[in-house]
Amino acid sequence: MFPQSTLLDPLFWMVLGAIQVLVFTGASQWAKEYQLGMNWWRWSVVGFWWLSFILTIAGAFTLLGENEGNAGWYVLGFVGTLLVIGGAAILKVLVLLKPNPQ
Amino acid sequence: MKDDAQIGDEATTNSSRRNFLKLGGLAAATATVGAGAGAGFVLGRDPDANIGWGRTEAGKDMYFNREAFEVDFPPTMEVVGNIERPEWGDYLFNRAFSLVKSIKGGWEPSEDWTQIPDLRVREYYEKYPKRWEEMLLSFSEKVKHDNNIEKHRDRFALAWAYSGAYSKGLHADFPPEPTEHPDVDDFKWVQREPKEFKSPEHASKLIKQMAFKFGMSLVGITKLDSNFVFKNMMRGMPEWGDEIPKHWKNVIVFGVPMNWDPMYAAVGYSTSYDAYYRAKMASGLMAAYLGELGYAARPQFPGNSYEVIMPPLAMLAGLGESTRNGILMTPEVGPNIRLAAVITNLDLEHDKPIDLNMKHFCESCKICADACPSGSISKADKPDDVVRGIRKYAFNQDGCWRFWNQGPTPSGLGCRVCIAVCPYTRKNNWIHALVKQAEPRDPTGVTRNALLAMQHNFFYYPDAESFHPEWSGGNFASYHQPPEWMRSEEYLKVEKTWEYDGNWEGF
Repeated sequence: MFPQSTLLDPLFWMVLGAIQVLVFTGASQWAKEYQLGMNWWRWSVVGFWWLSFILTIAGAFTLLGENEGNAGWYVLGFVGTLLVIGGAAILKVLVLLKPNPQ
Repeated sequence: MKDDAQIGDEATTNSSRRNFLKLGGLAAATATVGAGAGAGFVLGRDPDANIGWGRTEAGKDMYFNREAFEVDFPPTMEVVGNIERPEWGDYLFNRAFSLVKSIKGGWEPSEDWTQIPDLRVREYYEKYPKRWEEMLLSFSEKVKHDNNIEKHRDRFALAWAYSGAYSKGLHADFPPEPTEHPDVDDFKWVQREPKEFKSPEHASKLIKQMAFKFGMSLVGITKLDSNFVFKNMMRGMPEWGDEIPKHWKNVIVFGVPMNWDPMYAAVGYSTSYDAYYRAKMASGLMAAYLGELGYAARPQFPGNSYEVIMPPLAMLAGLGESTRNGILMTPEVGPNIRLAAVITNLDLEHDKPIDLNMKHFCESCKICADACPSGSISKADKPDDVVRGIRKYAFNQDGCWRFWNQGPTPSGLGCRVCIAVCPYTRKNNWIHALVKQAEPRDPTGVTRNALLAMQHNFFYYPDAESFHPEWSGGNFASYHQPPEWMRSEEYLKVEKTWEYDGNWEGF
């Protein structure tokens, strides 16, 4: 976020990394509330989707930043839409596969 | 035993903690999305991504590791017959300058190329008679250019000043042009007895480090292949045959990109002189350095001071591959590279050519051919010409030259649109670095096809005609709009009467 700054840039990436702990801890609480029965592969799918989603947003805005306005919006609209649909599909699968309460 | 009140308190605390984590997680996810967008945007803007303009010596991550892609012979140098050495007349600037000299001497050009006074030029158009029409048109286009150019100074004043400054630097007398036989001139650099290197490997390692210190972005070393030395052409010698000086053993080839933002704004806002100036100075510094160590040197530098053809030697030195538009394409800067070299008698370890699948990339892409304002680049699916024994894409250098003379630069020289629009001409930010690393490693071509599908459908390219100046039917379009520091309306007392046509940040 601060590529020309000696101090702020590493701090930014450290803080961004740290708040991912909060993201996944929060996600874990939501998963417990909805009794999704998360295991390693379910978390892997969710983690991969989250990484793809953030990289798509970052990639689209990188294109905007380097003055590729058309490409930036298209990437965001096209790949972003696919990922939102994919995310909804993953959520549906997680709900369908949730373990039955004994 | 806990009483009911204690149990109730714990339940409330746990519920509160869970709610905090749930809401905190949502807030953190939202912040991550915002941070991803913000970080992406500033990384796209980051001037550190301007490879070769700032991080040359220190930025190790900007160089592509070629080791995994080394081959014995460049795949885009397909030999299909006897390789012939280039003639004096094959060099565009030789022909153009000779024709201008003839015109100044009173000759009037006509459609009949057989009347060209200089035999060497005539021989070229005997081989390519249709190209004479283009060269002939270039004269009338130059007149139109000269009649119109000043009307557009309000718009291009800062770009012209930028180009003009580097032009002045480029025309300084360093390195000096040879004036004598190469057996004499190349040794003028030598100041002392040769100091012997431990090995050619040591010599190459040091020379490459010095190339970076002298301002170059990329460097490779190869044996001087005589196939790429011009015949009948030797600076400092009015008469020359086809001999090659015996001390011409190795070539240190190096290059630097043109400054990125002006280059993307070709034609009107771009210049080659920035990179020419840096490449020329570096060739002089390298020659002087070799001379101090006791070795002969023959600098080859832009705009017009060569005895060799640079792109094939750069390919042999592993800098890149040949492309549809006929110039060198490197993995780091694509075709945005201006080359210079020093020929020397120093024993050096040679680099190997590379195979990065660029051949297949160019076959599928064709963006440069579609955008070319003069239609000089072949749109064939496969290389469709053989030039001096080597198969390559047909390229009409006289058509290209004709458009040079239309460009809204004061000298009316240069286009650079094919360089600007090439998908390989991308800055060193994370998204392009990722793509450039992935594509050559995918033998299936899936990555290439996916990238090119995006390139063709998501990116905006002005029509080929739009790149023309207004006086010949265009609107001065450029692949990117000019950077802020080249927009005269931002700094000068001018009335903005124009709209920009080109890519911008999209807000």
